[in-house]
Amino acid sequence: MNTQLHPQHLTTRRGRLRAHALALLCAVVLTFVLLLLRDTLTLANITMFFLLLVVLVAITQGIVPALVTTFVSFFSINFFFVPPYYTLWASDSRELLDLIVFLIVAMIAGRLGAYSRQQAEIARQQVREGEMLLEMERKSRKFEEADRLKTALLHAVSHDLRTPITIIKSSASNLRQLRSRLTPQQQVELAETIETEADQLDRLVGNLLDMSRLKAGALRLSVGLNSLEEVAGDVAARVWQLTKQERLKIDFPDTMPLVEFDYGLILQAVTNLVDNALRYEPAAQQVELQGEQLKEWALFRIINHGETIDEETKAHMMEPFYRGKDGRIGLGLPIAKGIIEAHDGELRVEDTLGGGATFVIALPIRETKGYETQDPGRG
Amino acid sequence: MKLKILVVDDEPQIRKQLKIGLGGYGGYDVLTAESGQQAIITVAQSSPDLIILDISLGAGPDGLEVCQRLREWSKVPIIMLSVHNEEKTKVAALMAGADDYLTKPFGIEELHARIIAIMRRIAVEPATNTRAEIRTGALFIDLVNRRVFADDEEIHLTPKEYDLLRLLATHPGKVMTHRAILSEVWGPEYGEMDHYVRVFINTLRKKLRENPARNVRYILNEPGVGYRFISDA
Repeated sequence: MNTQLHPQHLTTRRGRLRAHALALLCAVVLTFVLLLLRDTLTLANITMFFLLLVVLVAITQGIVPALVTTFVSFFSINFFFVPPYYTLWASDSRELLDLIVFLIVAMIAGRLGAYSRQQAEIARQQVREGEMLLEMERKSRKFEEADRLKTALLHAVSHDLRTPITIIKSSASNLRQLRSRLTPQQQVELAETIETEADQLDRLVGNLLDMSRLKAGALRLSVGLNSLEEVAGDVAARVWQLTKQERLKIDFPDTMPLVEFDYGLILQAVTNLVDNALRYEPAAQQVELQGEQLKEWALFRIINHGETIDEETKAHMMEPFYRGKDGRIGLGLPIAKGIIEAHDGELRVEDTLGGGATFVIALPIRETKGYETQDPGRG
Repeated sequence: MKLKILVVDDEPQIRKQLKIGLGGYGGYDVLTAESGQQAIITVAQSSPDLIILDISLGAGPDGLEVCQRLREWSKVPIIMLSVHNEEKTKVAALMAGADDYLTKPFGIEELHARIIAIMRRIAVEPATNTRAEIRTGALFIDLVNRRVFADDEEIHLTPKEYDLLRLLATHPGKVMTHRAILSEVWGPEYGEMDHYVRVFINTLRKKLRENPARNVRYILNEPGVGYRFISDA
């Protein structure tokens, strides 16, 4: 028999002893109980009880304890239940036949019971091995992905981070060295460049930090019931401050429900998506921000009217460090996607009717435990 | 008279830049301290008019602790600085007694605007109760008759909406935490019901005809912390 298939407790000496002791104890207890009922039961009843015990022991403890139980039962029946009692004699030869048949049946049943236990154990083992394999595969995939990310990150660091640093450094040294030869206008321009590039750098570092937190699964959500319309408002105000133009159009129904989300993170996700949409929006048109409730989903659409995105780009644009046709590395979209998925939501890209891309954020509206969003003091 | 401002930061470059930046506005005398201990001593000796206090200060007491300790005996306005843009940090700063906070990196204009807002608030605070009206942008609030106008058109607010607007508008520039708003407008027993505030602010924004896409806004959201009324007057 393949000992490897034994449960842990049966492969040790102590475990084996315990199994035998348990089988023995059961046989003794059963004998004692049946002794009390000896006068009301037939010998056939009694042998059946012992047979049941043998099968149970075989299934739970294996073949050897089952054999031990078989022999103990055999002697117990002979000694206590076959007249004359308390001898190993059988006065009736038919009862002797019963005893022998019991021995044979018990041994076969024990063997069968033990076999079924072994099969179950093999099946369990296979499931365990399968799970282990899956786990290993998952780990190695994660490792590969981490490796790929690291390489991409190094590229990003060497190019996209160094560029603003280079500009800042050269502007600052120009200011220092050429000060007397620069017009005030030129000095202001240099200073402005430094500021813009520092902001760019800050955004990139923020994105990289978010990305690494998302990838490491270390993003902690601090969710509360929040308003998506408020997010739209904050994004729109920021765009006005940056461009002094009304580049966004907000349209939310009055019935739009509050949704559970982490305000800061969703604001970041929407900001990334809106920045992306604005980059490709024709100057004469506005990016639309629309809210809608669709059953148990809150939808937030960011509608761009530029060119429709081809399927190839659509398939890859949300992957980290995907380099778009304009050569930018994309961190904004994968971060937005990661944040939304961390909220059990979905981010989809659809074509805008008449051209352009529409990003749809879908966040689940959860049953809010005991919250009423209704006005508690209206009127 | 020049306003005396104490800058507390363990990073020498930040102290230097703030000294140059604020000094450039002409109206400020800038003192500096590089540790919490030094900050407390400087406050006691030179009694500054305002403190800009970084949360992380290297060794010794951190900014939050310094703020708490100062609050035991001083009402000097404090603006906290932090590189952490986390709600918890902001709430902790406000709970420790700070008047405002800014997340690094920030522009010197923004810091200057916050300083002016705080100093203006302090100047009007003793008279707050006697102010009869508030006017900002296209918004006009008649505190005596509880009437509100946007674009010269009267707006009808429910009593709770009006109380909420009045609470925010009479504390211009100051972050009112969700807790404080609930407690003032609804009563202390509503302490955890932040979403009431959110629903009301949503309605209020619409009634006041905010248009964020054109930057027409009166109530700023401080995510996870509370709301801040912006006033141009």
